[in-house]
Amino acid sequence: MRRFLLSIDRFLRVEGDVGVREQLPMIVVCGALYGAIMGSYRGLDGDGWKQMLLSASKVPTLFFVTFLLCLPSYFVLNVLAGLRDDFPRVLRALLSFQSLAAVVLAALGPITWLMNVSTANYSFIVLWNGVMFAVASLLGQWRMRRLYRPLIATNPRHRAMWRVWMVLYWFVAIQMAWVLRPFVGDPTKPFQLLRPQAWGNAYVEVVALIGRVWWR
Amino acid sequence: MKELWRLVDGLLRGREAVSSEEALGRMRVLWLVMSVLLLAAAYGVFMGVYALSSREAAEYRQVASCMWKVPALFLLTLLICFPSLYVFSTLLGSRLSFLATLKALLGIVTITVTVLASFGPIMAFFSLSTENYAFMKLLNVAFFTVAGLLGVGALLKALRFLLRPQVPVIGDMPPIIGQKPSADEDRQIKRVFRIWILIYALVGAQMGWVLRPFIGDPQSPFAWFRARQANFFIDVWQTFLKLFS
Repeated sequence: MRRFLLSIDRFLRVEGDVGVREQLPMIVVCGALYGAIMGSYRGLDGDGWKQMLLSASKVPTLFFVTFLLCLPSYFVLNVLAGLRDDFPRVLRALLSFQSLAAVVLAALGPITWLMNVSTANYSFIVLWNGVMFAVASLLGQWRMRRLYRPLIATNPRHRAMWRVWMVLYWFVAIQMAWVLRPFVGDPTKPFQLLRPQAWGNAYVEVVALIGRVWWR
Repeated sequence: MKELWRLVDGLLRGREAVSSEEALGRMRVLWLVMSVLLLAAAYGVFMGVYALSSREAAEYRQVASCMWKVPALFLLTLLICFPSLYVFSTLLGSRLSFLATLKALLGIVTITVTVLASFGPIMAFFSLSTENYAFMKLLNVAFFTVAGLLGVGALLKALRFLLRPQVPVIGDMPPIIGQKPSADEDRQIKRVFRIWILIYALVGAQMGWVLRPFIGDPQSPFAWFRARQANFFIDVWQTFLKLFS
C-alpha cells in the first residue's frame, strides 16, 4: 500500500520515472475508486451497491479496453514509419495518459462525492462527471505531450504519429464510453448493466439526432 | 493551551511561518487542527448569539449547531479538497512532501479562522442590537469574505515559497532567501494559485450550502439541517434567472 502511494507520488513529480508495471495498478485502483464514487449517486440501498460495483469496474475497463483496441494498429503504423526502436518509450508515454487521468480522477473523487450527497439533480451530476473526466483527460494529455516532446526532437515523424494516436484514441474512446453507459445511474430508472440499446453507434446516433432536429 | 497560543501567534506574526521549511517541520498537524477547531467553534458561538436574542424563546440548540458547523465547514472543505490540491500542485512542480503541503494549508486555514474569531465580539454585539435577519446574513458574509481574503493573501505568499525550485546549497553557504522569482516561475505560481482558489472556493461554497442554516431565520423553526435541495450552483443560477423573469 505504502509502496503504491509512493509510486503515485513519484509519478506526479518526475515524469517517465515510473515503469509500466507500476502504472497498471494506478489505472485499476484509482479508476475503480472514482467509478465507485460516481456510481454511489443513487445511494447504497436496493440495487445501489450493484451500480457502485459496476461503475467501479467500468472506469478501468474504459481506459484499458480503449487502449488495447488502439494499440495494435498504432504499433503497425509506427513500424511502418520506421519508429520500431522507440516503441517502448512511446508505449510509456501513451500509458502515462491513462495513469495520470486515473490519478487525477481519484483525487477529484471526494469533491464528486460531496456533489453526489448534496444534489438531487441527476442531469447536474452527469454534467459534473463529464467536467471531471474532461479535466482529467486534459491533464493526461498534457503529461503525454511532455513525454512525447523528446521523441519528437529526435525524429519529427513522431509528431505525425502523435496526431494519428489522438484521432484514433478519441474516436474509439467516445464510442467505448457510449457502449459502457450508464456510468452514474439514473435513480428513477431500474438498475441495468448496460443500456438495452447499448450496441448502437455514438456517431450514427449523433447524426440521427441532428437530422431529427433539422428536418422535423 | 500555551502551545496553541504560541502556534497561532507565530502564524499571525510571521506569515512566513507557513513559508519556511523548518517552521513547517516544527508545526504539528494535531495542534493545527486543534487551533482551527477551537477558533472556529468560538466564532460559531458568537454567530449563534443571534438565535438567542432574535426569538421569543432563546434557541440554545442553534448555538450548539453553529459551534460545530463552523469548524466542520473549514475542516471538511480542506479534507475534500486536499487530494486534488496536492495532485495539481505536484504536477505543476511543487517539491513539498504530502505532510508539508497539508501543514501549510492547515496553517492558512488557521490564519483565516483566527481573523474570523477576532470578529466574533463584533458579531455578538450586532446580534444583540439588530432585529433584521437579512442584515445579519450579509454581515456574516462580509466577515467570512474579509477572513477569506486575508487567508488568500497568506496563501499566495506561502506558494511563492513552496513552489520555488530548490536552490542547491554549496558547502556552508546559506541558501539564498528572498530571491525574486523569475517571470516564468511567477506565472507557474499564479497558475497553481488560481487552480487552488477555484477548487477551494467551489467546494467551500457547496459545503456551506450543505451545512445550512448557520444563523437561523427567526421566523422558521429550528432545524439542524435543511432538506437536500438542488445545490449551490443551481440555486445561484435559478436566482439569476429570476432576476429577468
